[in-house]
Amino acid sequence: MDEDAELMLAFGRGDEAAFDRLFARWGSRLLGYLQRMVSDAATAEELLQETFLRVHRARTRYRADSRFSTWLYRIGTNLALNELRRPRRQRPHASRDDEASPVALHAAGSAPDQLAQARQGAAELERELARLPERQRVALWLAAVEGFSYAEVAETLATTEKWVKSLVHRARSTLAERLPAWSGSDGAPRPTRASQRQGDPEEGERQRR
Amino acid sequence: MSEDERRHDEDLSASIDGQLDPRREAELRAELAASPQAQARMRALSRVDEALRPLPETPVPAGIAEAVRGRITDDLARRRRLRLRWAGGAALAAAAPLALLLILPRVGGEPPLEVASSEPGGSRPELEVVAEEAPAADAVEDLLAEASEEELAIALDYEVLADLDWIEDLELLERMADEQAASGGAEREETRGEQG
Repeated sequence: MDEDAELMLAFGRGDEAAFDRLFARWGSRLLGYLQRMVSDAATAEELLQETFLRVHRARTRYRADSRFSTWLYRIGTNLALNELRRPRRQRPHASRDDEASPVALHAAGSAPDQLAQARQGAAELERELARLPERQRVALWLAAVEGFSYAEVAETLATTEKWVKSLVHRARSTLAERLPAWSGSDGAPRPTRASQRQGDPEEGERQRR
Repeated sequence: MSEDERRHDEDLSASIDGQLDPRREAELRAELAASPQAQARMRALSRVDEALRPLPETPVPAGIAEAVRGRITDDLARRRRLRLRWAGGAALAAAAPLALLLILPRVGGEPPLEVASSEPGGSRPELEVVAEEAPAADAVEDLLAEASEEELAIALDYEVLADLDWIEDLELLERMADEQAASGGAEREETRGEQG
C-alpha cells in the first residue's frame, strides 16, 4: 500500500494530522493540474479547496483499492469538468492568471535571454494545452506529467484503457504538430516512464527538476 | 493516415508512456531501429513530453490550507445543525405527510427549491424554512433511512465524486440505479461523439 493510502486510512481513523500531510504532499501538484484544466488561477484554487473538502467528507469511506492519487485526481477531475460545463462560468475572483501563471518565474537562474525564451516557450505550451479538448488534456497531463498508468487515467475518466490510449495519442500528436519549433533536446527517444510511476509525489518532484 | 498507421502511431505514444506490453515494446523497438521515418516521428512525439516535464510546479498560495480548514469546519457545523434539526423534527415528521421537494437546476449558489406537500396545509411552512437553510436535508434523511446499503454507498460516492454539495434530489437514488445501468451506454455515446 502506498504511503498516501496509509495516510488516508489513518485520517479515516481520526488522525487529522494525516489530512494536513496529504494536503502538503498533493496540494501543489493538484493545483497545477486544476489550473491547466480550467485555465484560471482563482477557479483552480476554489476547486482545490472543494476537492479536499470532499476528501474530508469521504474520510471514513475511502478504501485503498487504488492509489490515493487516482482517487484524489478523480474527484478533482470531476469537479473541474463540471466547472468547465457550466453555461457561464462565474468566477468568484478576478483572474490572477498574470500574476499566478504556472509559467511565471520559471527557469530562475538562467541568463536573461534564456529566461525570456523559456517563458515564451512555456507560455506557448500552456496556451496550446488549453486549446486541447478537455478529456484529451486530462489524459495527456495525467499520463505524461503525473505518471498515471492508462488504467489509472481510465479510472479517473471513467472510461476504457483503449480510449485513454487514443486520447493521449491525439493530444500528444496535436501538440507535436502545433509547436514544431520545440527542440531543446538531442531528439533521442526517451526511456519509458514505467520507472517513474508508482506515485511518490516527492520522488516525482525530484524527477521533474 | 491509414488505420494501421494510426495504430502504429498510437503505439509510439504508448511506448513513451511505458504502457506497451513487453512483446509489443520489443517489436516497436526493432521497427524503430530499422525505420528513420519512425524514429523521426518518435522524436516529434517525445518532444512534447520534454516540453511538458519542465513546466513549473504551482505553489499553493498562502492561506489556502487555512481556507480548506475553514470550509471543513463550516461544513461539519452545517451537517451537525442539520442532524440536530432532523432529530428535533422527527416527531413532527412522523406525523406529517411525506413532502415532495422538487429541486430546480442550480444556477450558482444554493439551488432554488419548490416545496409541495401531499396534504395541503400540512407541514409545508416548516419544510420551506428547512429548505431555505438546508436544501432537502429532511427529505434526504427520509430517503436515506429507506435506502439499502448499496444505494447509500452509490449516493455517497456520487456526492463526493460529482458536483453536489448535498444529496439534494429526492429522485436521486432512483436515478442512481438508472444511471449506473445506463452509464456504459452513455460512455460509449460520449466516446463516439468525442471521436467524431
